[in-house]
Amino acid sequence: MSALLTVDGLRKHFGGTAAVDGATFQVEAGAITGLIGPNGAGKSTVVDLVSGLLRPDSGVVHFDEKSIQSLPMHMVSRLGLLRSFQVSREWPRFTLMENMLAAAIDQSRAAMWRAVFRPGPLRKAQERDAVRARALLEEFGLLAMRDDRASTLSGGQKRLLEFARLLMPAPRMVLLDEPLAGVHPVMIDRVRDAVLRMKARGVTVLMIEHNLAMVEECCDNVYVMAFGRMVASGSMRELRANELVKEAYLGSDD
Amino acid sequence: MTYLIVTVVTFALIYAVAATALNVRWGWAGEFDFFVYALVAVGAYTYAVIVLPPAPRNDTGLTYILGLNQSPLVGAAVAVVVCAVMSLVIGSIALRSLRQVFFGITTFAAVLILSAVITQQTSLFNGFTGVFGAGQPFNSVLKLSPSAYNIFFLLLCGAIVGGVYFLLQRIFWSPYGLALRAIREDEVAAAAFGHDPYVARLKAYVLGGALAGLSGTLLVAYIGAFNPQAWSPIETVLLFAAIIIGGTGNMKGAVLGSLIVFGLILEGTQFLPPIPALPNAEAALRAIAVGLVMLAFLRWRPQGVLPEQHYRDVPRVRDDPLARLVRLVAHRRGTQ
Repeated sequence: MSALLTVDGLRKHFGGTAAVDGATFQVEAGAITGLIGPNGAGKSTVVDLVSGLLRPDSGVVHFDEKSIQSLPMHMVSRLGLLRSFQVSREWPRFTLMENMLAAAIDQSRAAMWRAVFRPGPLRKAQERDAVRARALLEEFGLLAMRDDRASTLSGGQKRLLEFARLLMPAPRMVLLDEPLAGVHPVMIDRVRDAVLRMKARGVTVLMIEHNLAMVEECCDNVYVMAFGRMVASGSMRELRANELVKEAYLGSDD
Repeated sequence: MTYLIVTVVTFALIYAVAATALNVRWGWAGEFDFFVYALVAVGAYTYAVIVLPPAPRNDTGLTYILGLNQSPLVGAAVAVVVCAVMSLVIGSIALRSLRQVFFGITTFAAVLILSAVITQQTSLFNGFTGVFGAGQPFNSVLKLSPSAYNIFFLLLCGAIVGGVYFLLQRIFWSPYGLALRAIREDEVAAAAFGHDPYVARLKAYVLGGALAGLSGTLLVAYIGAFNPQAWSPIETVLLFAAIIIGGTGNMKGAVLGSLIVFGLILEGTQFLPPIPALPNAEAALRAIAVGLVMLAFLRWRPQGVLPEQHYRDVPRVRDDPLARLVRLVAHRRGTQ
């Protein structure tokens, strides 16, 4: 297996604070890689930097051997590297179906003149998108609610919609920022299954998560982050034995 | 009476074009824009100086630029393009980092600057007196009587509003339209799915500018004259009222709202009995009426008479009124 995403020496300062201070890591293609660490370690900032929401002070990010550290988020996502957010950011006044259709990235269709003068092909393409959207919503158990506003969903359902929406443009890799944040315990299994299904579809995943049971079940390789950099990596079993990690994050449970 | 009704509806339709312009910017893109009515003025002035003959070189005090003596179609095309380009310039600066009320303040300031320049620099558009004599397009060919021409112009405005509605509906349901609304709802989430917020907003801003220019063209072609008094900042507030009442984001709503605000409320109040002790009461009552109706909508029906349309995947089953009655009776029995 080869690395789909490589990050080298990533740095980001907010005022005098180094939120990310030389983070270096790799994500293998086709795997689920975990990113854990105490609050304030810089995990979410790493996702913001890689996805292009924030621009790094220094460091390089390669996605599929292309350097992307200076691209804005809409350009990064067009390359097939998508992300979710810690607080789910569905479009609240859109119906579920509209959420799905608006997520279908195909910038060749975005031209306004085509909508005015040649709407036929666009309509056909949207019908194809709608078929795909219905299939994904069914997979995530949301099909019956497809004409409801996204704001009427529960926290867990919003997460499922977010995953369905992430799969809509057929991404190559997704960055998941705490997929279990705001999810009711009874929904945890469904969210975990959704993450595993992404892997089964061949989507590479980098996942920040505080629920270590979920990390252990899903992740092939896990990075531990503290004070803006990676302090260890390996399987959860290896990490539990690592004294440095215990100190930084897990705490001594004996 | 017929003449009056035709005139009022024509004005309402001209304002409806301006309301669709603001509805693209505010309803679809979510931009708190005040510049739209200044673009109506720019469109009106541009059309006038393209179709008017050159300003007389004697000492009449009538001065304006160009005076190309061109046909109304050329004038309209140039006016629309000038407004689109002006929107591109202002939009590319203001949309880069300004949002919400800051965007509103900036565009409001731009209106005041433009107003000051046009009023003071009389060589542009004849300053405070304004331009006149640009009315009755095509009538040199048609040779209609005033009342017949009035009806002709109403039909022309109706056709233009219909055409604008048709084009805007296509854009609304297109991938671009959906992306634009996604950006309005959550810009960061939209960028996370490949939509460039800046470019999409700028396109909408230019589209709105072109429509505002078209509205200005119709306005000056109908009344024949235009001066700075015709476009005080209050006009933009009236356009906001039309959209809020008709339905923010819904183009049918923008047209309906214009008919209500400009036709019913503004023109209807002149039929109220005059109050001898308060000769200026009528003008004040108009403003109060618009304000009260707008506030009532914001309080009880913020989405307007016709809310923004949504994609429906499951076809809505038209409910049979008889079946509904049977269900209602059955429900009543069940609860007793």
